[in-house]
Amino acid sequence: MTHIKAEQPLSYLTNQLWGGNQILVAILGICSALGVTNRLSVAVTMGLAVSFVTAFSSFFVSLLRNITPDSVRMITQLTIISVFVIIIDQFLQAYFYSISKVMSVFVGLIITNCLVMGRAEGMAKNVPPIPAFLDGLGAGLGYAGVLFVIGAIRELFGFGQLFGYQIVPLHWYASLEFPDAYENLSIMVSPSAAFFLLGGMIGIYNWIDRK
Amino acid sequence: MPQEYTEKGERSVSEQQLSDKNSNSYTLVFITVLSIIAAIILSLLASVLEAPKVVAKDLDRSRQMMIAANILDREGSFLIDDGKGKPKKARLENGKLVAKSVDNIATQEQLLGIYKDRLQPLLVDSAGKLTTFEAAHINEQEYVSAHRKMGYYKQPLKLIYKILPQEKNNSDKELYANAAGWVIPMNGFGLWDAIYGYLAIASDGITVLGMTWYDHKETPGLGANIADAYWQEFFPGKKIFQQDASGNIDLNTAPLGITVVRGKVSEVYGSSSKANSAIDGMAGATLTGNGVTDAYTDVLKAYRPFLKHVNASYSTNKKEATS
Amino acid sequence: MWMGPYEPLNMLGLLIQAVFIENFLLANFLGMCTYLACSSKLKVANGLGLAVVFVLTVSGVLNWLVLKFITAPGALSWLSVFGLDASEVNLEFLQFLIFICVIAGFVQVLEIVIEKFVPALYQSLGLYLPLIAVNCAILGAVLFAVTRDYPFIPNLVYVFGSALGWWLAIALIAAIREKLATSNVLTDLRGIGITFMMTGLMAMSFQGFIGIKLAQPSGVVEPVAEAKVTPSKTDLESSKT
Repeated sequence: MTHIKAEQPLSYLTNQLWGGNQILVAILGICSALGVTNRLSVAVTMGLAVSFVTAFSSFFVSLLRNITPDSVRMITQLTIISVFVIIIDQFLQAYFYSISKVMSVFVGLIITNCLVMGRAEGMAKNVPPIPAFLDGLGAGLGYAGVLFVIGAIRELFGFGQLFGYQIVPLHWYASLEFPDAYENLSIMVSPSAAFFLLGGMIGIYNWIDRK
Repeated sequence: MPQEYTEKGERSVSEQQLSDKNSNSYTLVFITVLSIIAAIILSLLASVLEAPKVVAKDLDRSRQMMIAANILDREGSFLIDDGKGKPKKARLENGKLVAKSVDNIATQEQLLGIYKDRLQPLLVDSAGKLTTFEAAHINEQEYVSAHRKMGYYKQPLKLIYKILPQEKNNSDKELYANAAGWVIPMNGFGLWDAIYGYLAIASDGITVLGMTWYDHKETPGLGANIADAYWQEFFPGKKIFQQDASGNIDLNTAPLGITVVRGKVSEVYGSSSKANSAIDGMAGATLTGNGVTDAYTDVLKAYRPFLKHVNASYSTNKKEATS
Repeated sequence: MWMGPYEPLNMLGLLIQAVFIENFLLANFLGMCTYLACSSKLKVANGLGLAVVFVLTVSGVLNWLVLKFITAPGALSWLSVFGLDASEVNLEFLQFLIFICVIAGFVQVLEIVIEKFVPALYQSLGLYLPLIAVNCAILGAVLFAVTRDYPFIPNLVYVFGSALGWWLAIALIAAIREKLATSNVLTDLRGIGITFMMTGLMAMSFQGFIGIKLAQPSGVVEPVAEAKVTPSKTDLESSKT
């Protein structure tokens, strides 16, 4: 794992957005990227939730790094992460009930999201709190960015909508008079499409990186 | 000399134990303190958010029931019957709903208030007799949460909601009388997991007022369309009892339920009377549609005696009104 | 509490559903990270799969006990044995925390036990155990079982089947990856990119199982209302008039 020695704390954040993007480079945090990117609104909510959890848990893990015994390091990290995930879950249930119904168990699964643990283990326990916070925030935002792109493509081609608003004009669709007209690409609704898109995105990323 | 050394040695060992963060006692203390702090933070949060959470959940269910019963529209404003059977937008003024043509989004308290006012939970037995929760000595909250998953229709006393009309007269003693309609909680099994909805029936016991499926774990974009307004709006006006070829309904023998067909009803049934008990299917969601059809058949079967009663008293009232 | 409304035949259906139809890796996409890191060799994948089966089954049962006796609404009523009335206490918000601690704790204990008593097994499996504690699939299977509110035996069958399905998927993909290592893949897609596409194709093929509904409970529930006072005929008559 490359150790980033930066003078400016902000570079911790920007590093995570592209160069060290967690999904495309470190291949962490995949599970939820596939399960929740059907609809853009859900994908964005997930991205924001993960950013929140990663940033704050990295901050606290870093804060406690000097007094945490080695044998319970992982349990401590899990506890801190769980606290923040529960905060988000309760908040969603109280004020955004319809979204929490759609996301259901995936909110709880943020706890075991490799991305959050990866940042806590890989970075937060080695650096002071503020850089850890920025690093976590950057990782979360990089993740949210990838989720946004996949979600947008899936919703646009799978439903013809973005955020629930119809983008593909209704009169383009096939009907009794024009049975050969446009139809939604239903494979995009199935999660296997997310796999293809992700593989493609990694391929494109590698290609850009090579140049 | 050795004495001093041993004493000093012992003392420094125990000091070292406490400050060494890898020692057992330190670890134990650390974990205990961490757990306590985490528990305190979460308990505080949970107790603060307890009320909004309960409200959100009840609100969601109440809202769905009111949408099915045509008391609320999907954007969030109240509706009242304009006397000709067509719902009009309304606003809450002085405790009564008054027709207003502008959009008035109802607040949470208003929603819950009207819900309590207009929807009365009752129990009906297998012979079709109505009774209240108090008379049956059953705790409503316990009953509602205990049987939600397996279905109220499987119980000997089944849950049903009476839609009370705008203007109530004091004939609350008469459980059958003065109903603007009835709401039956629907249970079924979609593709992945149970589906829950509300079916609102008009006072004749035959025509559908509205339908909402509010809880499901179906595939987004496919089976999940049962929760979409677009699909639910096919339901009002359908008949749960299937008419025979001449348009009559024999309440004792007619098939009871609504069928989700593959494709469009107009293509499958044309203009035959079966079309009045069928709904367009959703492309790619045949299995969810089958689950919905089965839900109707299974649940409504349990309420048939009750629906016959309702229709009988409706026809009697109509005759009395016209004679 | 043990079987609820489920018949023994439903158990077989539940097993098949958990292994094939709702395969944790290919239909629910949980447990990807460890699978991607460790699936380049079939032997490694097998070791990991076996470990997951064991951990998930046991922690699934442990967490069911936690759910039943600690975090479900009204679950703490057993404290009345000690004279405490705790039936109103709702600890549902602590669910995630307790579940993950049980899982991590169990894995830790398991590691220690294996290291002490079966060192040979520790050599092959021991490395994966910490990895498994944070595997999305474990927490995921437990959470899914919670939302479906299974009784004890169906819960056991479900978590066992989910783990078996996970093992099946990871073994299949490791086998394919071993072959892919010597194939001529586009440079940019080599490694992870092509693995994703292969997994996508496999997920599509597993979609063919959708719709086989063997696990639906059809048993008759003992009606609760019978136990309470049933209204007498006169009560009903008077409430009608």
